[in-house]
Amino acid sequence: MGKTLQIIGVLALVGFTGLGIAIWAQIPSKLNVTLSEGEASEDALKIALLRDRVETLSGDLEALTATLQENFTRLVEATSGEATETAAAQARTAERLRELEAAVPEALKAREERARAEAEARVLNAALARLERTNAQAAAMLRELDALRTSLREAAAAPTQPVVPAPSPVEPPPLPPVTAPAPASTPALPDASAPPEAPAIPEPSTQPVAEAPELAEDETAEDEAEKPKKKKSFLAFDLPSRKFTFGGTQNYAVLGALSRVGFDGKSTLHDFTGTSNRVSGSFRVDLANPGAGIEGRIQVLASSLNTGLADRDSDMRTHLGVAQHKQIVFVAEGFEGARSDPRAQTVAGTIVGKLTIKGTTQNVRMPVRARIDDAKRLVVEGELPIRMSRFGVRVPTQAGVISMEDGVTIWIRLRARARAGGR
Amino acid sequence: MSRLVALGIAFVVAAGQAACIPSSVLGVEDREAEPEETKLTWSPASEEDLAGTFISTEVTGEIAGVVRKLVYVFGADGNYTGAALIDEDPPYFDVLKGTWRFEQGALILDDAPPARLEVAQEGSLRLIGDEGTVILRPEAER
Repeated sequence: MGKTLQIIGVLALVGFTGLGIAIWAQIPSKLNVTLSEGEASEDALKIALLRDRVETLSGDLEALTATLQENFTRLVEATSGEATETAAAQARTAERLRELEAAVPEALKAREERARAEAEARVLNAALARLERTNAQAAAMLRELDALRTSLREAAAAPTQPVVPAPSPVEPPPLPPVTAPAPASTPALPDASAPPEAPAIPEPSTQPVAEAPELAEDETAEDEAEKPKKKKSFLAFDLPSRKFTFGGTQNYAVLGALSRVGFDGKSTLHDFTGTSNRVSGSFRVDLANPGAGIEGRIQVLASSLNTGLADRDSDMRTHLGVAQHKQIVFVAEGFEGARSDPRAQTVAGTIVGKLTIKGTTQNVRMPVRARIDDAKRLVVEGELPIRMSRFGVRVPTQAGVISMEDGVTIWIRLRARARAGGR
Repeated sequence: MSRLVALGIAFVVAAGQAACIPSSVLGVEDREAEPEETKLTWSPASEEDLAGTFISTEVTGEIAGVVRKLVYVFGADGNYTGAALIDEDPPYFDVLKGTWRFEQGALILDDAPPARLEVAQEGSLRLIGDEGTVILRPEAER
């Protein structure tokens, strides 16, 4: 039985396999796929829709492209137009800059000339002020001259009147080298010839007064050349540019407020100093060469000496006879052993002169040192030992016990300033 | 005898006193009459220090040989007037007026060069310029 089943099975298997192969071989020739009408129109619609949409999109794209093209074209045109304008503006600016650069040197020159003109105007203003002052002086002199001529004429016309003494020649002051405006309006003075009855009166000059400035022109030009030039200082004033010079003979005026004279005395009780700042005087010397000569006078008000004790000062003034001999005076006559250093502006040596105390004069020699301080003042210091008895001053004593020594040392600390025009 | 004793006592007393009273001799360094202005202390000034009348007390430098005295009246409105005694032969007064301004510690009068301005405690002014220095004391109106 089993074998039979096995055989049937194998035969079934082989049979089905063969059948499958045969069917499979028959499919291609027997199977035809055909679409029905309902399915085909739906797809076509979709495709048509798609086609339409694509076409629409294509049209839009073309229109957009055209618009963009147009706008780009406009943009390019506009940009190129602006560029052209900018280039033109730049060209104009460059041209302007060139013009300004060309004008700058001229402007600087004009500015310099203006500054120069302003400086000249200031100088001219100062000269004008001087001229006005001088004209006023000249007018006063002319008036005086007029009055003199009038009195001369009157004296000449009246022979019985007392003889008028010859007027002294009127010397006009040195005037700047400009034509004075006054002469044009000043009436010409008539000649006043002397009458025979008044022989003492000389003939006045027939030259018009206007010539006076011309006569002094050379002198005036020299004076102008010597006058120091002025420049504006930080003080706002136009100051003469005159520098202090160490050398050269100059007049020096003692500055009392900054000068002191004193003496050192010894007594039984103690040593003391008496001082005074009532100092005055002047002297004339060449600091670079004082040995060439010095002249001057320094004086101290005797009653101003002060030792700090009222009683002692009172006695001192009595002994000095200040009521009768008001001043203690030193007169300088010479300078010996001069050591002058113009670079350091110092001088040392011995002043020789005469000292007068209580009316008695003695020859003295005082060693001195001098220098120039920051304010261009001459500072002089010196010491001179003297004996009071030589000048007739009695040595003060108190009750025969307390007494002062005869010898005292006079010292000076003077400040003096050189005065303009003292050369 | 009593007189001798009295004199002796007087001598002893005098000698004793001499030992007690110190010397009042002025030292050499104290003999000089220094200008008072050298003792002032200075600090930078301001605009407010300027109003009023000022008279010079000390002039140093190049201008010292040229200017003897200066007087300035500074107005709070920026105007000023001044007078200078110029040391020439003969000396003369130069007067002027104008405007002042204060810039960065310097006083400028009209178009003149600037001058550094300092003030002392008691109100004095010090002008420091290229040509010198001027100390001005305030002057109260009377």
